[in-house]
Amino acid sequence: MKRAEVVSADTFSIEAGSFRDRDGRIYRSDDRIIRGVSQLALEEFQKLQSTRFYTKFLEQGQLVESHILPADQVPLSQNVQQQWAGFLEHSLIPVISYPYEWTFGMLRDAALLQLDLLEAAILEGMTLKDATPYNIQFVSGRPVFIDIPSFETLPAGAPWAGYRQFCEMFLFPLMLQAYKGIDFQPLMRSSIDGVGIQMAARLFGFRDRFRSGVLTHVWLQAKLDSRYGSTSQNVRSDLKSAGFNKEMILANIRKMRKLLIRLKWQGDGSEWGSYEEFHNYSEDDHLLKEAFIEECVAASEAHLVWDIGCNTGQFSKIAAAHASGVVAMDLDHFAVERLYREIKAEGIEDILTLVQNVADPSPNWGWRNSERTDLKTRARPDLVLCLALIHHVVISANIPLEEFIGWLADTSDQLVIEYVARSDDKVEALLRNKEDKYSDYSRERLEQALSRHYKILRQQPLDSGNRFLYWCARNDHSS
Amino acid sequence: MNIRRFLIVTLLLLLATEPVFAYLDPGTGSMLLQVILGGVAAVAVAIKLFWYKIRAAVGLGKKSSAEDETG
Repeated sequence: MKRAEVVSADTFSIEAGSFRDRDGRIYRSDDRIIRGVSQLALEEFQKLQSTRFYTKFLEQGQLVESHILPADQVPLSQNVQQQWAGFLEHSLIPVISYPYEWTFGMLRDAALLQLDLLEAAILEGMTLKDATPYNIQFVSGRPVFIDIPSFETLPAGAPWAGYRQFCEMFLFPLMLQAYKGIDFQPLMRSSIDGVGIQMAARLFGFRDRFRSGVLTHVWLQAKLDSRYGSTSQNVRSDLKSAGFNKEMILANIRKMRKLLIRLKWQGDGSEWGSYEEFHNYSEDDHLLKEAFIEECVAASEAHLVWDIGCNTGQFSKIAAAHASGVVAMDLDHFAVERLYREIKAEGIEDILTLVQNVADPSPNWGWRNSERTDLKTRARPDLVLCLALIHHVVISANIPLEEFIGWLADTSDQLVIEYVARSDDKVEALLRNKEDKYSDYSRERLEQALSRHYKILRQQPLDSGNRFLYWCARNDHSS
Repeated sequence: MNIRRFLIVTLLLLLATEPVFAYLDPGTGSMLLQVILGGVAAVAVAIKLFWYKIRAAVGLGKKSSAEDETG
């Protein structure tokens, strides 16, 4: 025991986002995830381990692997060890992502997993005490539930404790997307507790009440919330004595599942939804570009690759063949949704799809501005692919070219970047109705900026003469 | 489903009456709604839970007694 303690007691950190549950806390020691738990949480975990559904979902890879850590193997300080009755160790999630970075399909798959787990737990006398998508992560393209202490014994006659939270964090965002075409990510990113009941009731109009689920889950819940939200009555015990039981929760869960499955979103108005069909370069150039990227990714020996502006994800897939993980990002929700559906259908495991705008990326926010972090903190890449994106960043988002290259250099050691010349019709289209204040947008300025931070290892013009590819490695002596 | 509609209508009637409760617990409304979402089995629970409110809504019984007895 002493040895583990001495070696790593000062190298652990507390996960800033894990404070809400008073029955546990997450610590990170190198690449190990350790959870301190109270006596109650420890007992619930032992009970959970004996259930059939726990084994089943674990085998299906839908629950994070967890085990009780013997006291002499806890790599945390004596002080921390004294705070908890026991410790669990969980397997490490490669890249942590948040619901405001997910697509519609991802949030729905997470919601369905939450319901499946809750139903299975209730059938064996347990329940989930909350219902937040932050308890779910995507690993190998599939949702995995990670908040093991969320499972607890279901008290007799108790309602579904997480129902309201489920509505605010899963159902309302999904319904807003499906029924109103309102992207849920900005809403989820601005409010850590999701779309509140009263807000949802205002966002859905009168006619929406005729859409499946809106009348009850939104409108009626909002009415009941404002009327009874501040009652002194012990509704919990009233329900129990009136005979409320788990069959009623199960009925609600099953109807909720049907409702979620029926929700459809086809992304009307997506800018990039069908980009692949009308990219403007020749088949030869396309092959040349693919070969260049494949060679660079393979030679880079990168572990984690970011494909920023992934679009259809064709280059993410090439990268995934050589790296152990690719985070494929785009600001276009529907483009990312299509890619998610595709990798799910094809069983591609090494790509994590995220909705992300490099010009307005995920912030550090929540309690003390550290409850949720930016993506670079969570998943620093070894290589960034920045293909046919720079004109959007510089010309559409007005970010100076040098600043953008500086940011890329801060982000990762290696970069594959594609320059799209002014003569390219994509750039012409961007400038058509805009005053051209972008004197920094040129190949010369790009190469200057690159050489300030990087060594250019390889470059490749495409035959069209409008596009140039560079593979660069950071020159650590520059600053 | 008809029973569900009946319950919804009943609740709408209840909402038209004065609130009898005072303060606390932000999830209370959501808990009550689960009686409606609980399917056929929940009908008896709903009636039991809201019996005095239902009587008050249709003009039977007195609200003051409802306050005393819904607990």
